[in-house]
Amino acid sequence: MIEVCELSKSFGPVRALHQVTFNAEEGQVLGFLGPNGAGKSTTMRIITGFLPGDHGSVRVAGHDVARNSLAVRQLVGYLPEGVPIYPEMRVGEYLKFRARLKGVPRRERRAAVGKALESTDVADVRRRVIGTLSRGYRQRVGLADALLAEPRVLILDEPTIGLDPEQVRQFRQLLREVGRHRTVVLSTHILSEVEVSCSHVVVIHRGRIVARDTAANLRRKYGTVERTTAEVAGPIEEIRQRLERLPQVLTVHAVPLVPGSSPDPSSGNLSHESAAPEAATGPRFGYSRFIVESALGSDLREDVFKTVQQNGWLLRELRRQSVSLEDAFVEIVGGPRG
Amino acid sequence: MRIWRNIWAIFLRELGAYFLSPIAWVVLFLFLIINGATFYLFARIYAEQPRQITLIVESLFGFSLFWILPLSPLLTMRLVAEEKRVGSLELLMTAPVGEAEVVLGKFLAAQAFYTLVWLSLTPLFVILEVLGDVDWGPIGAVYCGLFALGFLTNALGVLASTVTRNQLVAAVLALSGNLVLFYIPLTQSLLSPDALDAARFVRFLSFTSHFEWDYSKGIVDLRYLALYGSLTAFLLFLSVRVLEARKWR
Repeated sequence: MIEVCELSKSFGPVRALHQVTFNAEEGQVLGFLGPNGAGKSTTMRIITGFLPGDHGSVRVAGHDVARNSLAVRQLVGYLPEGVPIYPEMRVGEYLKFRARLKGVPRRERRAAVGKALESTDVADVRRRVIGTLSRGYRQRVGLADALLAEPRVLILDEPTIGLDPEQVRQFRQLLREVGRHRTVVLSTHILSEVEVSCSHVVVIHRGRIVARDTAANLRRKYGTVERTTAEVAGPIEEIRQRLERLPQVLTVHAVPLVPGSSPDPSSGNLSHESAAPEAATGPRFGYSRFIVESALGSDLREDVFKTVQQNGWLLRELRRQSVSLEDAFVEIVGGPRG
Repeated sequence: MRIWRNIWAIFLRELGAYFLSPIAWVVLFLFLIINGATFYLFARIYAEQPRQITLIVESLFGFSLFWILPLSPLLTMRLVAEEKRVGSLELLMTAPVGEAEVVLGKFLAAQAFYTLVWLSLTPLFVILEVLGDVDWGPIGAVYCGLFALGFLTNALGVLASTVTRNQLVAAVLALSGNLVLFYIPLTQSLLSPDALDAARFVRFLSFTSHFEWDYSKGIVDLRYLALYGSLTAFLLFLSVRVLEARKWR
């Protein structure tokens, strides 16, 4: 439905997009994920025909956006970032105007506006002036506008900003409904958004696509490690070396914890007063945090505990976590170039 | 068909926006107050003269011509500049509408409001008609001239509004353009006395003088209307190109 092929775009000397390529099929909800300034909005502006790309092509339902922009715009419902809608108009008036612009036939206009108002739950403010609405309402009026002409493609730039949790929940439900027979591209820098709403994810960073897959695959691919966190009191270097020798361990990071500033306040003082293990030789040891990364599927907790026990060190925290999509994202974005 | 529907949609929205914006009301209010006061003054001044009604009409128009300078800039400065500043241009231009339709719709809305402002003087002439005998010919001709000149100044204002995102800059640009129109007759002094053709050409372009020589005598010269019309078309064409410029590679 949407085919973006080797799209590049520069603003003067600033390279906003570099050889961006991805597809979205009908029925897909594609999450366009990236930190602020990664090029999400620029890509969306090019797909909707507002800006041209420098190189590469964008096709929506077979129409080239640069050559046949009008045909594309007839298919696309767009919610730009920040929802720039006329503040002086009333909600109902505004939607009527937009329906007229989008070519909704006169007889169906009222019904179309009514339906959009209903589905985005803004019918109660249809007589209010847009400028007096709260951010959440304005966002939903913008969404109602995007849905007006029953577009086959929905492009939503940061659609959940400004919504409260309940509204976000409603938005996701709405997205599930409208997304069934449409192609939806939504941009966000919030990961949980993608995890909940999207079937596919494109991660963009500094104008380049750095990952492109289904949400599940992405987590599998980048979630290659198990992470075991242990807080141990003892000689840091020795503990680190022992932990590194455990089976399946990839890396061990050690972070000394300053006494008294432990993240756990109840044990913070304790570590200061009586953290020194009797068995340890030499000076009294404070607690350190060890982050042990090991192969996917491994569980090091017992091994870590045994190691600590055998050496007579003290252990006060031990937990294992699988890498979430959030970590995958940080990994990708902060990775080699970060 | 689709094109006219879009122009109509934008025309209606912009005309509505005038009545929702303080600037239109302020302009209309001041226009009526000041012209009403001028009317009263001239009525007093010429009260005892013969042909008093003609004198009042001529003087009223003579002075209200100053309004040509700021009127169009004030009415058009918002049209595109504000959309650029707020970002709503993005929503507008991603709807299935062409740049030309947007420019035309907005221009026609400005022209409509501009016409309304000038027509608000009509009750004054009706008062004169009640008291005496008004020659409606020159009044009609002057209205015709104002309407035609409005095409030109409004198109200039639209163009000024498309090149900036700052309303004030748009207004200053359009006002300067109008001033240039006003100063054209002065260039006649630069010509040698023998250059009769050049002098005629300058007179042809002396928009304000057209009122003095033709409209106020009830004459509507079609050549002038053609001149206004073609300049307007050119300015609107430029506005469309400026709006399209964001799409140039």
